[in-house]
Amino acid sequence: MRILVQGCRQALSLLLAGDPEIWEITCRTVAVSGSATALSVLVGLPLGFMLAMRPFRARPLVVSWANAGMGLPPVVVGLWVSLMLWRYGPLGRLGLLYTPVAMVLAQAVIATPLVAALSMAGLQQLGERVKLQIMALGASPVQAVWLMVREARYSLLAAVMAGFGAVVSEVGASMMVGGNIRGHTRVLTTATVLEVSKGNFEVAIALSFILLVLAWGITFLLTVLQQRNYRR
Amino acid sequence: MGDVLQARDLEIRHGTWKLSVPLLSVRRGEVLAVLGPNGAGKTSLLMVLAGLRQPAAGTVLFDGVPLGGGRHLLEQRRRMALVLQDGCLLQGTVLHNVVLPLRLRGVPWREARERARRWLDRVGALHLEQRAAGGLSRGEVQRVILARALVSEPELLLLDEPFSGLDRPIRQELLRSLRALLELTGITCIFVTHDFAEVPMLADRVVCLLDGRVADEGSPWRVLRRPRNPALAQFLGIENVWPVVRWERTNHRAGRVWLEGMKQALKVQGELPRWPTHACLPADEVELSPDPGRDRVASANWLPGRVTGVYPAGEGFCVEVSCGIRVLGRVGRRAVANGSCREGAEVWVHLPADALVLVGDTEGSGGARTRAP
Repeated sequence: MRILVQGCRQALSLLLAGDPEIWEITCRTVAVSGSATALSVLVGLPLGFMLAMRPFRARPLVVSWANAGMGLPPVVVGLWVSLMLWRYGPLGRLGLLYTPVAMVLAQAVIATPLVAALSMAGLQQLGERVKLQIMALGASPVQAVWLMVREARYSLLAAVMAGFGAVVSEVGASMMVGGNIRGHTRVLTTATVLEVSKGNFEVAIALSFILLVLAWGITFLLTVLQQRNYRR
Repeated sequence: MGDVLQARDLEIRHGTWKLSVPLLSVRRGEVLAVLGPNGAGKTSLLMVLAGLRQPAAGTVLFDGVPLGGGRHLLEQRRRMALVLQDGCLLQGTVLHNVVLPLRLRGVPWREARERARRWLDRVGALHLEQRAAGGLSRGEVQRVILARALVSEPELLLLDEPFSGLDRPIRQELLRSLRALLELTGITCIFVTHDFAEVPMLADRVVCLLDGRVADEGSPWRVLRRPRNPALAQFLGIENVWPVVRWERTNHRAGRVWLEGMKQALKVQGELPRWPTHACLPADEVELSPDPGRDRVASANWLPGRVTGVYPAGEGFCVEVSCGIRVLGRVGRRAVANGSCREGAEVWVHLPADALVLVGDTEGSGGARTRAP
């Protein structure tokens, strides 16, 4: 208990002192997880839309992949992305391993099935009736997609929040493809693991506080956006 | 006045189910009702006419031009408006919903808002304009949906049971409002319903779908009161349908008919099919009297009988009389209260010759066609 109190006190002083390394790690975490979430939305949202709206032969198979992908272990993703980016791997020439870009790719692989499966569920909930109604109003295909997204925005924002939550809190993949290199690929989760292994609990607690505030803060912003026009 | 919409040799399939429509047309300014029981394919037909579903075969011409694909189809669809069964409002305010069809067509916001407010006013829903769409009653939702359909002032309005599920007074009021708006604007309308009580209130012409085909077409009065075959009579809720055992034609619009279980012949007048198999008569055309007088009884089609059952039906009572055949008639409360139509009472039943309709069983027997002997 004493360790906990002492750790909290030291963490608070570290935070208030504005340690430049902690700030750097925090900013990198936001950049990497934010980019990975954005990438997963770019891929997952159209995929979710296609799965919800367009019937095709392999649809049940793809849906089952998306659903299974929601529980994809980050270390497995880390392993496969590492193998792909390894010097002698298929994408080894790009020299991305142990860079923030590799971390973005690995995290995007984790978040994309979540965004796709949850947005598919949200859009399916609207039903064929809303789709037909929108078409009946005289919407072009592009306008129809926009109106569908607007109608399902609460579910879609929930999918984005779930995606961000998954990537900002994962450690396995980031560690494997990023390598936790100081000043280069170290993020809040990997730094926390390292500090705990070194016995620096006060730094680890400080990092965990920042991670919690960050995860909550961004989710809060998305929630405000989500609930802004909710009047039912 | 040309046809706004014409469907030729249309075939709509859904698994093993099939609907065939050889020809369906609606003239400019006309209100056409498509009547049929649940599962007759009314909604599928409307979807095809609106260009939202492809038929298995046949063509649909809108203003003389086939409904095409891509941009062309979108332009054609934007000249129509479709109200779906259990149509829904999108999220946002009522005004945002009514403005939407205009905004999708590129009308500037200010102009769209003015037009939307004008149509909300016309359907009696202007006071709802700033209300959230999710907080409206069912009747209010239908008014707003009507305004949203009419705001783009379409050339063709397609309605799929727009007022089903509403209370009768609200439904009647909305039907009256719609009739007035259609008369005001001259918009051509096709509306689908399974409630034949709605048809005379709104339609100039009616098409009846039954068993995967167009079973009848004509004026609402003719289709509803003089059905072409027993199946249609049954669907239209005509209470008395009797098998014919013998018949003879006395001239080209009159004849005599013997019903199963009756020795006496009944006179019939009007359109006579070639081979009648059944005689039909709505219960409200049947006259019941305890003592009609000797002169009237001698005239025609008066039968002595005994009341075998009295059931409440709507605002009055339905009386079942046995007179060789089983006849259902309607009477008011007073006839039941004064005992003239109580169970067991002896009454005279009049089956008016001009209301008695002879129908043929199938087209092959010439049931739907009138032909001189």
